[in-house]
Formats: sequence, C-alpha cells, structure tokens
Amino acid sequence: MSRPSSTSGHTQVTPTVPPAVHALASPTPLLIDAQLPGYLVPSVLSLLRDSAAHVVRQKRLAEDALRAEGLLPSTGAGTDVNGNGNGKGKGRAAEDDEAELIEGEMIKRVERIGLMVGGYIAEKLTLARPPLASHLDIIKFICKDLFLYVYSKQIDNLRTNHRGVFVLQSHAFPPLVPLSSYRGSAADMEAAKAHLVFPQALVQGALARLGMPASVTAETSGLPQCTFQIRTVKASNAPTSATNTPAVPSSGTPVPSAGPGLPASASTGLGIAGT
Amino acid sequence: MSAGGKQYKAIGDDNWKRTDKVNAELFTLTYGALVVQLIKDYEDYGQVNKQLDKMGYNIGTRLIEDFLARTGMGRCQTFAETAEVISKVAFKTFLNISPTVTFPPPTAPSNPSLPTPSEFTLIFDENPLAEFAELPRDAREGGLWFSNVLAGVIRGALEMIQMQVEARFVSDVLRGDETTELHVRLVRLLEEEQPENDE
Repeated sequence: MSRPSSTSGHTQVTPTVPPAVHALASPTPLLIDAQLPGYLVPSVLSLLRDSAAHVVRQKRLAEDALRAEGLLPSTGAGTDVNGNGNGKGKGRAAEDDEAELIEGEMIKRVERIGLMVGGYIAEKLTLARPPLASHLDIIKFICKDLFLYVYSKQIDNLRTNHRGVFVLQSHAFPPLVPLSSYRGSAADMEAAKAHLVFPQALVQGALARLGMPASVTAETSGLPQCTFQIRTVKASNAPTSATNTPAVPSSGTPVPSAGPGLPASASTGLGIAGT
Repeated sequence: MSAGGKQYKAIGDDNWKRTDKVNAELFTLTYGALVVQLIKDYEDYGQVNKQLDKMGYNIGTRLIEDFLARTGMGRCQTFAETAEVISKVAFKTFLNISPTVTFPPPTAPSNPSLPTPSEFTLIFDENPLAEFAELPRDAREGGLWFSNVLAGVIRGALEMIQMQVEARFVSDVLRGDETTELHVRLVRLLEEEQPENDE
C-alpha cells in the first residue's frame, strides 16, 4: 500500500534490517507482575499528597517570614498590629483553604506524571506503524492499543457525535475494580475521583503527543464503570484541570489587591475579616 | 545452591510462569517521574529516601498477603530461609529477577536471642526500577537511593510476618558503585500483636 509519509514523497517500503539491529531497536521488554501497577498508583497518590502538603506549608512559612520582614505587603487585616490577633478568625478558613490548595497541588502533580507517561506510551506504541490519519483513528488507537497496553483491557464502548466529541466507556475499569468504601456509593464516587486523575491525564498526554490536543474528563456513574469524555480543542481552550481559585468571601473588607506577581495561594489570606 | 535453594527457585520460576504479566515500562516510568517530583518538592535527598521507604513500607504490608495467598508458602524455620524465599520466590514472582543472597559476617555483635545468621545482603544484577534512570551528580553525591522503595517493601512485608528488620541499600550502580546491594538486618522478632503503626 503506498501512502505518502510525512518526511518523504516516496512510497513506504518496509526496511530490510538485519535482525540483530532490529533486536537492538526493540529489545525484549522487561516484564513484571500485572498486579504491581495496581499497588503503585494509590501509593503514588498518597505520597504526592504529602509532598504537596509539604510544599504548600513551606511556601506559606516562607511568605509569612517575608511578610514579617516587610518584604511582602501585609495582608490587610493580617499581621500589622497584632501578630496573632487575626489568628483565630483566620484559622478555620485558612485550614480549609490549605486543604484545598494541597489537593490542587497534588492533582497538578499527578496530572503532570500522567501526561508524561501517556505521551511516552503513545509514542512508543506508534513507532513502527504508519501515522494515524484521522482523529477517529487516533481515538480508536487509544481505545484499543493504549488501553490494552496499560490496563490489559480495551475500551468497551465508543461513541462520537462526529463533531469532535468522543465518549469512551469502560464497564469494569481496572483501577476502579478493587475500590469500594464501606461508607456507601456516594463515598465511592469521591474516592474514585482521586483514582481517575491519573488515567485522565494519561489519555490526555497520549492525545497531545499524537497531535490531537483535547480536553479529557473521566467520570464514573457507579464503580467500577468509567466514562471518558474527549473534546477536541478547537479555537477556544476548554480548561481541563480543576484549578479553582477559592472564592473570596464577600463579607470581608475590601483589601488592596496584592502585587501582580503574588501567587494565587497568598490571595486566600486576603479578605478574611478578623472581626 | 542448597537443596532448599533449588526448590525455592523452582517455586519462583513456576509462579512467574503462571502469573499475568505486564510491561514494566509503565511502572518504571511512573516510579521515575515520582522520584523526580519528590526531589523537586522536598529538595532534600534524605527526605526523599524516607518517603520512598515509607511508600515501600505501605506497599509491602499489602504485598505480603498477596504473596502468601499466591504461593501458599509456609512459615520459614530460620532467617536464612526467609532470605532465600525473598530472593528466589518473592522477587522472581513479582519482578522476575533473582538477586543473589549472601550472608556477610555480622556487622554488630550477635544478639543471642536472635537466630543466626540474622543479616543478609541481596545483590541485584538487574533492577527493573532503574531501567531508564540516570542520576545527576547532585543526586549521586546527595545520597539518593533511587530504588529505596524496595527496602521499604521488604521492611513492611517482614513486619507483617512478625519480623522487625532494618533494610537499607549500601551500594547502587546508579551511584557509580560496582554493585547494587540491599542489606537486611533482623532487629527483633515480634510478638503476635498489632504492628506498630509509625506511618
């Protein structure tokens, strides 16, 4: 079959390569027990949560130190008069903010890893084949080859509206299969969310590497089922990760906004009225 | 290889044949990316080592059950047997590698209440975790043990079967050493009780 390749105008010819060289290019893969990734990913999640917590706290400490030295504008109702006068009122809200921040940081990290791993796997699996022509081909590759490679299981159901939206369904998605919570199905969903960040980022990274940037959302309507929604990005960029800026409570006194360079995390301390 | 050794090797090989396998790349990629992220976050190689060990401990406490269920191995009579089982059956079953076991002369004065030998060293001639990894000089000099999760796994798994051990790497080819060696020392035998939850 002759198909113009992207680099040359010639028809594609299967290269005749001595088997020894071919073996070098595709060495026998190292195999490990299939259960191991299932052990690793949850541990990765909790470890990253801890390290995100560490980073957030360090940042906060550093900011407080800088603020104490007057190098950063003090946060309106904050530490000017009485160092801990505001401490109590701020305590509860700051803790929640901190928890949110930590979650956000952790999700960012897991996503980063997922994107990288997804891109690498997509590249590796498409090395020896002709390039995938259409978006539909790319999605089919994801459903079959990528999922088979990563989860030993293909996607069960693919639907599309032929206008850039694809819905992939897996009835028994491997990372979700061993999940269950004694607290009932609502808590199951919560737990599932954390475990879906990685697969979501994996698919997104793979798509990006294959030349189809898209936004991916993974949801479950009931363990262990899982649905991926892929929206190809056209002109407008749909935001993918939930980097919510925490809403500033409106009851607070208007606070002079901090300098433009201040990271979002500092702004959570603003606007929290001490009285 | 002693008769027991041969038998364990056979068990390990058999388990490996029967288990479902998956390409190691996904695992090593994720692990490597995790180590990179931890280094960025903590900026302290000692902390990173501790975190990896902690993760390994958590994994190990669960992995041991899987292992015992799958292999149906009974209780080991001596610590030396434990060492053989770890190297020939456990590592083979999960990672398809067989590190060599050696029993070096004890580093501490031998404790009469403990079985002898009470320490062993695992020598890895291949390490799937470090397959694509290369340490920058900073990490090498900073004391990073890239595969420290393995030490944690051994510690966690053995604690679940009533052995408190200290497991640590003493050398690593990633750091430019000749070999990758993991030293395990039995600290004490635990009573049948709740394991201390220090995580």
